[in-house]
Amino acid sequence: MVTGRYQSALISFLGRANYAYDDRYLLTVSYRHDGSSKFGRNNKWAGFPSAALAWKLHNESFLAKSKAISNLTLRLSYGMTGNQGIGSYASLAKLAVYNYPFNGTLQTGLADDVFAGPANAGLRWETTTAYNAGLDLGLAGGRVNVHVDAYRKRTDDLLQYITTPASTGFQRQLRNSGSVQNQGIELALDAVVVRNAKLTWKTLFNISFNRNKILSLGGDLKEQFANNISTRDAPFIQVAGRPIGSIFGYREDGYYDNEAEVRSSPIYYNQPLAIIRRMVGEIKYLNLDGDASSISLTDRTFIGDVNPDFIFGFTNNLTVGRFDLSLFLQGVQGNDIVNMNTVWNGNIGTSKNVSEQVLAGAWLPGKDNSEATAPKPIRQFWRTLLFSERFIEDGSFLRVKNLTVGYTLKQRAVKGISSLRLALAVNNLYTFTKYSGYDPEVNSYGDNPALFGVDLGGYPNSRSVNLSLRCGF
Amino acid sequence: MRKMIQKGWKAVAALATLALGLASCEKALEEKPLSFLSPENFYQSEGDARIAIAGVYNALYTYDLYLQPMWNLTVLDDDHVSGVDWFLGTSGAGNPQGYWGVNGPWVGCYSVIARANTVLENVERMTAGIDADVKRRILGEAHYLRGWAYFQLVQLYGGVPVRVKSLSADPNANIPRAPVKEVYAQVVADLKKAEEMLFPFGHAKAGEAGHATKGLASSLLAKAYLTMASGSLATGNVIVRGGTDNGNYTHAKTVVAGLEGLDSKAYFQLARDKAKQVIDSREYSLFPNWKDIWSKAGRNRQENMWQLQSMAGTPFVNNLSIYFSAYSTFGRGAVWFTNNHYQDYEDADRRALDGVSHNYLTNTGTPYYYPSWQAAQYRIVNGVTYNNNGTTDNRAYTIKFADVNDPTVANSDAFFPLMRYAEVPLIFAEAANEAVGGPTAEAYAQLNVIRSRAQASPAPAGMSQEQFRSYVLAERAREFVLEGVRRFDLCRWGIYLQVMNRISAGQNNISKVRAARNLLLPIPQAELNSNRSITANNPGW
Repeated sequence: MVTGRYQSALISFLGRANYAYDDRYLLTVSYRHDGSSKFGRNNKWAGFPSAALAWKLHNESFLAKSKAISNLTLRLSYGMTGNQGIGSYASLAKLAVYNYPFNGTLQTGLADDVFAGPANAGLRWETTTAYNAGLDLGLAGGRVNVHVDAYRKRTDDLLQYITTPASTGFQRQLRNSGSVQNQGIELALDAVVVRNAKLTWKTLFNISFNRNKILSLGGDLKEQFANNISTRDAPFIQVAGRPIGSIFGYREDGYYDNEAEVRSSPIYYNQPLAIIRRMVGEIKYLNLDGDASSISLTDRTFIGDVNPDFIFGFTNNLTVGRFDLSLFLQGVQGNDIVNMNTVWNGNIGTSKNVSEQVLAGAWLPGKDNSEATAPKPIRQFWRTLLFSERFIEDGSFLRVKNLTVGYTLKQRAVKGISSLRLALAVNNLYTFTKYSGYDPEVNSYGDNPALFGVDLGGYPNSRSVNLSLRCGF
Repeated sequence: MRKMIQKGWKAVAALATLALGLASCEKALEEKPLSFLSPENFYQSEGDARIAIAGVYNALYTYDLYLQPMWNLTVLDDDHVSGVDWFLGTSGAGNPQGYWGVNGPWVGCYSVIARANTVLENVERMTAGIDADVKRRILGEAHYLRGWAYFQLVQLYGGVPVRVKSLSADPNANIPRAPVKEVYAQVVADLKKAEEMLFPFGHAKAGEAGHATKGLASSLLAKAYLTMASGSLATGNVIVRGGTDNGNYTHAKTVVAGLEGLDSKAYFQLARDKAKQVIDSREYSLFPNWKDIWSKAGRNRQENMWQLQSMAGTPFVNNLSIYFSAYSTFGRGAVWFTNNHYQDYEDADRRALDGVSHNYLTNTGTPYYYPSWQAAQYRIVNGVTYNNNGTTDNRAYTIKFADVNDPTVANSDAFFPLMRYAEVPLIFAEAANEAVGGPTAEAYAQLNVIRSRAQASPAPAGMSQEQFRSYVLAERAREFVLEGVRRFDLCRWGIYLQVMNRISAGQNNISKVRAARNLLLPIPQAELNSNRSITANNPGW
């Protein structure tokens, strides 16, 4: 039985100054100095300044009388923040209990803790520096509002577990390693489209474009891979200049249709006959490195990216007389999903079940196999499906997240009841997507940014129907 | 809109107070470990040194090594093994990458090495509070375990990074692969140190059984010499009974990659002399009765030089018994050896008579017998009629892992043989034959020590060098079937691919087709991704 006791301390000093001039110019400056016990002996303290400036143009004389523009504000801000979201004692070397019995007597054993990894006395704060420029525009007395923000955030000294060569006896180490940049534009628009005695229609739309880029991995590291997502596959590559969430793997080129085709491949021409024969009806992987004699790790390339081009939301609220209707749409466009279900249920012929599509698309002798989507169906245990495009799918979707229809009865329509509203709400009503898994809105590794967009077959968002009755007395 | 002039600071925090506060906060931010030990002030007493060396042995009992991968990747990959296809379908069918434990030997052996390095660095420094003999022995054990680990690595992966310092002593994590010969040089250096520093089995300061001993280190050294010698031998043939018809096939040996140009004969002489030294020391001896090796009472005694130490009622239990034994929680075990190999034993050979479960019950009580062609002997025993359909029921289950504390549970206390004394006379016989170009009288004598103990007839007289070599190799297979010896034997003689592909489709349709890449395991992808000094995997992976 192993239990743990932890202790950590955080000390902060904070100073802030606000200045406003004529309700036209606003300035906020702050500075904080934080100390965390979790970092190395000489790196416990760090300082984080910030500043924000706003210019309320609508209070300037040239706009003060404008009827059309009720609000026009320009905003600029800069700020640094720190992250200390790691466990305690990460900078210290640890011994863990590793016992062993000798001739029926258990002997206590201790050795360097493999999971904690080698000590890192230089561990320090992860810092994020953010710049933001924004514009708020209010029109027609506030009936129409537009907000535009452009931002650039840069995070340095990322706190992350880096894979260490197992030949050191350790497999990972918590390090400050690398820099990442996020920049993008966010746009939000809300408007009261119609407002009269009979009809009210409000609409709200927001869209954001974010671009993520690894600036460096720290040190002279050129590339690294995030943790495995199965016992064999670690497809997430991190390379400077590309986003976190780039997928690295093999490309396919159909199937070997006959023995002659297998023999003509430099990979197989001098292999034993039994191997040549069994390769017929198997996946042909593209050989992308200089070595034609085998398909190896160096034949992999970039085959996907889990980051979307943009995400958006669209809400409409409509009130007609006593009826009201609300519709909320949500969408993501241009992202890839690693569908691990197709890894586990895709290798036909072992003791595991496969999905029906795999069998239907299997390569078969004597058939026109130009449209085949899976290797031949035979009992086998030797086939290894390399991590290729076949496990990656377009995760774009448009979802009817919520639809609510309500009816409010006339006040005092029923004796003793002051108000009565009847409503039917459906959550996750319908999803438009080409994704074959349960739910494109999936993130099996939670908030681990290195492993976004993986579907390990988790429980999907459920559709729920709520009928509600609300009474006021 | 009304204009309003508002001037002045709304809030001002006095930054000056910051400077005052900092000094007193330093102490509050100091970390004091509450539930773990820090290595800095460990290594104080003899007790600490014992704890540290136990931590090295612990790496054997993990899901990287003997909690399956180490035996799965070696025992299931030879010409004599058969079993159910759901268990032998990956590493047993030439597809180790499909097996979850494929990276285990690499990770596990380097875990042994890293911990041994730490022991060597820290226990070496201890002066007070430890008996000088015990200190020496513990250092010897660390050398032994490190040598053992490099020996496994070089056989399974070829050239590997040689680390002889812990990461704290040498922070460079990017060590390139050393040539095969350099790894063997490290194996030899460590095992020589170990045999010099360790005590013989039974010595008062040798530690409990299960610790490495002098005789064990010498025996493993003899085995390493033999591996280098047979691997580097440039030409020669080995006759192996096999194929699908169980005929005798002559295979021309190949040289193991990386051992080219070694003075093969010199290493055979070293192996012969080292084996002789162990035999003459009488530190270990054979059980007169072969079956006793595998009884609970025989554990850690005499012939059982080094076994994986299990212990019922602790986490140190494994599933060897249910995978390899006739009775299993699966019904019947998942692994057996082939009918062809069974026919390689004489009828009176105890290793077939007592070593195979001829009459057994499954976990639901169904009676089975083996083999179908010996129905007269085994079909009806004591009035009970046993079944065998003549095909898929012909499963030669070994008794080697069956005598455990509780055979009806998935995880029990089977001991796995890591080195058995019976290997030493056979190392002698094989090496003596090669060292002088033919079998000597003493080579015959040592070979027959093993045969006569099993109550098998003496080896045929007048064999040529090639015949004797082939006979010893077959004898090793008879003695050590399912003990993780055969695959290494085929590989070190450079006949693994020829022997396996001669069979192609094995018993119970287990694929024995092997490509050149199957000679070595793939280096784990995580190592290739993180170690910048290793740029390429083994050929074909």
